[in-house]
Amino acid sequence: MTYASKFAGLDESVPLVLTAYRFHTEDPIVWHGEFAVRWQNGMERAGGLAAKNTALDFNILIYEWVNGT
Amino acid sequence: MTINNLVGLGDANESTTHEHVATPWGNAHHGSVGVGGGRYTAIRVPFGTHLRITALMSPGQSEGRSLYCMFRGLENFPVTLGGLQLPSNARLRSVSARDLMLEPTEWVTLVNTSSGDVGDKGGALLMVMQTVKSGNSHCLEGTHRATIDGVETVLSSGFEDYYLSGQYFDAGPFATAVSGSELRLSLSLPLPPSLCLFDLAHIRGRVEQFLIEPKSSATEESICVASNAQHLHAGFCD
Repeated sequence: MTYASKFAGLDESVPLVLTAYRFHTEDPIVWHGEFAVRWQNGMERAGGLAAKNTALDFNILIYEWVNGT
Repeated sequence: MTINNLVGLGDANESTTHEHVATPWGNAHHGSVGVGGGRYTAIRVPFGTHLRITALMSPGQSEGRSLYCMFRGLENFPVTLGGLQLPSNARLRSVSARDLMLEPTEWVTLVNTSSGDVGDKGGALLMVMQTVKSGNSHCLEGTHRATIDGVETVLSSGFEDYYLSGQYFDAGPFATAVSGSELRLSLSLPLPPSLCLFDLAHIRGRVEQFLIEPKSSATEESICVASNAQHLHAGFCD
């Protein structure tokens, strides 16, 4: 996707550097035994939406406790 | 984690300027309202009888730098998340990684709490932050998926959707109490002048100002855990 507006624009063909954050303070995600989150670097290896190699940094904060104590 | 990470920003690139890429912003959870400082976070950090907060100088800083910061908290007070009261033995844990190189369509696990004894530990997700650097924008097509107690759930149909935006973040950078995005193509980020990272240090009462000695090296550590349920809320003035 390529777009340009009064306040923002993006050319999908140029390199991208982007940081985003999400707090789950209003929509809790809770587990009782095990929890995992995965992310995929794009969905296509060829064609118009072909992704490229991506360098990823991430930070996750979780609350954790021992059940039954 | 760094101070920038705690307020939802990525780490600065090689530049050490304090140039802002956006106007000051903030909400009840966190904010960045100064150039040379003014970062704050209201993340609740449960602790028991004691808590340690350590500030480390980033490499290359000269001696004689001053750090101004405030840490405040409450004793014998429950920690809640979205209306849920957390157990008294709940602790905050940080999971992070830097410069993971992913090939196109490769999956990466951001967090996995599985231990040998299923059902041994419960938990709740507080914050997710990602910085991606790619040759184009199509990494944003990738989805987020969670496995919660053995059941897989699709958290998003695309990167920006997980962060509550859409269409490759077509409204531009934003910051709300629950999500935000900062698009950087070749710009630097403001850095607190004296901090590389912080973990938790032993405190008594309210710390308003202290001098720090530069360390020879800075290493990243997870936020430490302590004993009973109390919580801390931190603000960084400089």
